[in-house]
Amino acid sequence: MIFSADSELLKIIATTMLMSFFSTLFSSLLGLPLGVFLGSAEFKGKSAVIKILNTLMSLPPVLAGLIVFMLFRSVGPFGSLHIMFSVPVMVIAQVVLITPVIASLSASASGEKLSSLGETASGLGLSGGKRNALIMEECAPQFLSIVLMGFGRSIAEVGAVSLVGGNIQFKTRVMTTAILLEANKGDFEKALALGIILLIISLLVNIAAHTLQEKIR
Amino acid sequence: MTKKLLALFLCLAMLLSFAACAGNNDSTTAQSTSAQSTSGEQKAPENPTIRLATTTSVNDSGLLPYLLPAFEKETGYKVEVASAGTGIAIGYAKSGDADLLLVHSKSQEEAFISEGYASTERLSFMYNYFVICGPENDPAKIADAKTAADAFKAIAESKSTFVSRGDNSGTHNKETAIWESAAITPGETDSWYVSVGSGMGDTLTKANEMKGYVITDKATYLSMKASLNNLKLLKEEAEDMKNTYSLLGVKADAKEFEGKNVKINTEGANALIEWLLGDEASALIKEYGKDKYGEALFFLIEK
Repeated sequence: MIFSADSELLKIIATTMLMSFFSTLFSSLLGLPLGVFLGSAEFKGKSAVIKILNTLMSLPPVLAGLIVFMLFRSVGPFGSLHIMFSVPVMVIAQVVLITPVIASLSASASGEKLSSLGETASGLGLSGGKRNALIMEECAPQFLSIVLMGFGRSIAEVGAVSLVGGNIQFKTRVMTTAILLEANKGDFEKALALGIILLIISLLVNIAAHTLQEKIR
Repeated sequence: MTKKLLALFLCLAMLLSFAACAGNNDSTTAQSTSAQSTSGEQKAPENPTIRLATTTSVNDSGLLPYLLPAFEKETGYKVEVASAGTGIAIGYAKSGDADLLLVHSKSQEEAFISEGYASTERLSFMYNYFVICGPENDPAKIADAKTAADAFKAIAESKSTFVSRGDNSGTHNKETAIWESAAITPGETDSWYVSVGSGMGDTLTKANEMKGYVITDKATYLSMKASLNNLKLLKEEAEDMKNTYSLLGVKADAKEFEGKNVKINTEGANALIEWLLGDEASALIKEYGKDKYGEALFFLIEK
């Protein structure tokens, strides 16, 4: 089954990659700057914000899905967008899920770097934006790992995407919901084969990222 | 400088991703139009997407994947099937995210109509029978029972394991109704009654593992039979086990949708309803399952 690349399987893989790519991209665009800001700036209520983010790290996917479903269903406040059961709404649900993870982890990574780099930075007369840029640069390998983690969470997630995506064939069916469907149908061999493909994809992405990591190090 | 570069990079990434999103949309439209142009001479419908919310039994058993390509080819419509239990399917429809329903739970369908969501009456068009499966040695001796209610009584009296969907689906509601007619209410203390809260396939798998009794639609059981080594079909075709499937259109101007941005494809829903009730679909439904299981899985309700 693994080697018979039928068009449905290819469509499922393509949808999965498209969704995970954009989920990771938008979560990183939101989460990394927020994390660096939290890691480097000092302000009142900072620890409260970090506590909230840490709590959101354990947000159950299905709850994120439910919230996004309530917001974006046709009778919901954003119903006019008509994006239920589509890849964009799956991406939104995953961004809700993954952004806190990326922000929280990058806050602690950049916070640690700051304490070791702080003196160098002030010695060099750097401040504010320039100092943050230095931190970003120094933390790049860690950030890549964090982004990869976000990707891992996205590609492996099933609760949110099945609720807002609806697992519609040729449209919103991704690897995880396809695995769940086959398992529910009792076709465990096919489910397992899909799972193996998912892991192979993750492996390929990780190899690519690792190569990139070596380069920026 | 680095900051500016970074900002520029972020902007570019954002733009690129939007472009990719838009590109993706284009390609899907292109796909569906090309599907239409190959489908024949008739002109493409104005709104070609029909959202059908349905139960797992008609989709996972293969009936819809067998029927719908013919409809799509003839009409140029594209049907998006969201299959879940009847409960969540009706929930999708009430959210304005389905154009029509294909479900099998009379009481829930009637509630849907009385709440003013339906554009059609309950269009019951096909049926089959629920069946009760259980372990081969049949500890509750339900094979001798006349009705499903009698079988349930025997299961409760012998405290044999019974696995329930527990998900407010059509099958679960049928089960609840049978318990009611048997005047039994399984409660927390009845450890033989296991409510698993999942779909039909998953519930059958669990019943197979627990060597318990389970009520299921026949189509799903037959399609999974190969992996259910501990389960045997013990009771079928009792009058109180009839399973009727109905179509319901969703009303575009339902009161709950007022002032909301709900868009219902009434035209598409009606076209699909008309087709499913028509002669061609009837002929297809009658034959479905005969080649694979040696018997039909769904029967038509004579008009």
